[in-house]
Amino acid sequence: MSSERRDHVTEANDDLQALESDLRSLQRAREAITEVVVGQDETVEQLLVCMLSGGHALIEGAPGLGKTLLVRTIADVLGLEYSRVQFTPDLMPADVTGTLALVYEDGKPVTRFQPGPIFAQLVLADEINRSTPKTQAALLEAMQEHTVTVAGTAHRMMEPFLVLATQNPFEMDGTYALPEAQIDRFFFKVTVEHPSEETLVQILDLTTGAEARPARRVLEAADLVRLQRLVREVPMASHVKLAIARFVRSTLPTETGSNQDVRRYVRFGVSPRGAQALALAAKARALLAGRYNASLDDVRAALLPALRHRLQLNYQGTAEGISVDAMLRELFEAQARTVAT
Amino acid sequence: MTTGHVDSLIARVRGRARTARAAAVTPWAFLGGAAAFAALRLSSVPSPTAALYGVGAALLLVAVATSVWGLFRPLTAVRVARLVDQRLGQMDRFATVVELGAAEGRVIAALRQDAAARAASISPTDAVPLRWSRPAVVGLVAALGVALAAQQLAAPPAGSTAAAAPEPITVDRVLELAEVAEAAAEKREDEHMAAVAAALAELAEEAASRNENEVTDLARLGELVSTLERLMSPLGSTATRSARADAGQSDPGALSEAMAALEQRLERIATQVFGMDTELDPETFWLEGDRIRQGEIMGDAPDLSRPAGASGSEAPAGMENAQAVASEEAPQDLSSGFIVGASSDSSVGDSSMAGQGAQDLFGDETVGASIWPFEAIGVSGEDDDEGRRVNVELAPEASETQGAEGTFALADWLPSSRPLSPAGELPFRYRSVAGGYFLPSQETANR
Repeated sequence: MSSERRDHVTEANDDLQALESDLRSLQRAREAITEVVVGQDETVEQLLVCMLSGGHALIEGAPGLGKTLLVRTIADVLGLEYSRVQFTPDLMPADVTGTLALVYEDGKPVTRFQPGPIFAQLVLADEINRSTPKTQAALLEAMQEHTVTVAGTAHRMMEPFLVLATQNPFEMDGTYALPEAQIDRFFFKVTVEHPSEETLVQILDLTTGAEARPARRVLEAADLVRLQRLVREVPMASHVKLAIARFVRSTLPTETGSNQDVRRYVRFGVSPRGAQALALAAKARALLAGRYNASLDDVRAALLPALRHRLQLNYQGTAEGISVDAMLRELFEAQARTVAT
Repeated sequence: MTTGHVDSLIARVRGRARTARAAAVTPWAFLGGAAAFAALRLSSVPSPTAALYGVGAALLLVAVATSVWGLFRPLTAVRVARLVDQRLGQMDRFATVVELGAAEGRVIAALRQDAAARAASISPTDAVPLRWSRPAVVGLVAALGVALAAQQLAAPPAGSTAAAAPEPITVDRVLELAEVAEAAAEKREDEHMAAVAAALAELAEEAASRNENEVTDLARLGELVSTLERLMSPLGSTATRSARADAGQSDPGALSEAMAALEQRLERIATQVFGMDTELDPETFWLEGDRIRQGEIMGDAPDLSRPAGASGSEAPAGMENAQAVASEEAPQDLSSGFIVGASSDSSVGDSSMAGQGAQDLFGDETVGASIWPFEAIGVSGEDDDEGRRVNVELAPEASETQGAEGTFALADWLPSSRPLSPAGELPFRYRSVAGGYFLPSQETANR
């Protein structure tokens, strides 16, 4: 074996070992989170998938389900700089993004940019639907562009920059529902369910004792950025891509030959951005599971959080209480069968 | 660990998948064949033997072809890889590796390594277990049972003709038959038979010109043999006719049998020394007792149609002792006989001869037509209000030469509503014979 080839093999082996090490770290991070946040394994997985994909998540659940704890724990375990913004109706955009402040330097007054709480690596936008659309838009711009522009100057966000926004689906008085176009910018919409009896007992044990169990840091922010890049290298077989494409087309009410329910109840189908989210989430999930390729099962698992906020029902669908989740599942299984061997 | 493991696994699974496909398809194909065989066997398809074996062979061919198709139908590597993924829960791992080919990347390398490690521990039998389709196997067993039962039900009775493989019909044999037929035609001065003999010779020569030792155009040969049979006897030989009816025109066995019988009969004719070469005028023959008599009957012919005072189905004059005479005088070869009919009335009646008149019945060929020795083997008659019908059964190639007066023996009295063979179907020479024994009723004679 020539020395050049030997070097190449050694380098490849090092790469593989580094990769395996990263995947093991990811597993440890997941375990570390679930040690603190019990009974929310699926939610934890979905949020990790979302963050590995570099997306933002909208977390929906009743108050007191541990949403804040979950986000805080994730930040601690992943070593991310954390900030929390409590959205209220009187919250102004500058309160989120930051503003120019007049300061004196060497006796002279100068304006300096005072970064807002959005300048963090993991931002918890609590009850985002309680603020005005103007403030929501300021946050959503930062989410999309990863920059904040104040007084004509663009300020780059930290990397990774992840927003986990929460909203209460029950108390709708005095809230400002996010427009569909802005909801589409959330990579995932994660629903937090009430814990089971056993989980609740575990929660009581963990949280009402003398000492709360602290979250242990497993990763650094740089590791997460590296893993985010790695996700995009995960290959996906052609039949999986075909299934995604067919499925997304099948959600369009204007599509010839689409499902009767889709034509009847759907206002807007899934956008190409939704298809991208689905594919990327499938790749991230594969990596999180310690695999190196995205499968149909990964797509299936990412289906609801990635698309449930992107399929808009019409008035009839809403009035008849049509379940978006059920419709998505049905449409996907129908298309997955068409690509079966 | 390289992709060689994956490639090897794909190759082994591919072979296994083909075998499994063939195994899955085969019972269904044979089930179809067995079911069709049983259905055909149980149905009343004419000439069942040839049809059954033909259809059976075709279905077997289809079954084998289907299995072979299942065995060799293209199975791409991606398809096989997906099969492994699905059957063994490999999360699309192998399909992705196969599709990636030689692509590079950290994750791809890791995926390849992972897939190779897994491929080394996967057995093709786990991926594609050989399973027989239970419904197909059950159906096949049932269909085979029905087919066997049908075969038993439709089997010929014990002692019947053995199903030995028929010998091919050689050119020499056909030529031989043609020569005999030609000789017989010459003897009988039968231009039709001569034409058939020439056609037979031509058929044999055609085969010989192709350097073939066998006559392969069995359909044509069958037609010629059939024509020859018809020329020999309108009803033909009972045995050969029935055999031919069973086997079809082109069955070599039945054809060979018919040719042998024909050859024998033609040889008898060809070698016979006729003692009579008399032209019979239908208008001058009549029946007296059990004998044919010749003379002027028109105008003053005796009323033979009905004895004085007779009525109903009473036997006509001269035929009362027909049964006795038949049993005393001649054992008759019924198989080589034929039946012609004569109407009692030219204007009324349901006979195909009735209403046509003698001229129409016998045609102009009657005049001057020669007749060869014959023997009547049966006479039947029927009386009703409209007249009497007399049917005469003749054996034209009977070995005994009859006198000029045309003696013939009488057999069973078999009432018949119509002539057994319509005159229109008879060759003209037979018509002349029929004419010879046409017995006009008194009413006809008077008219």
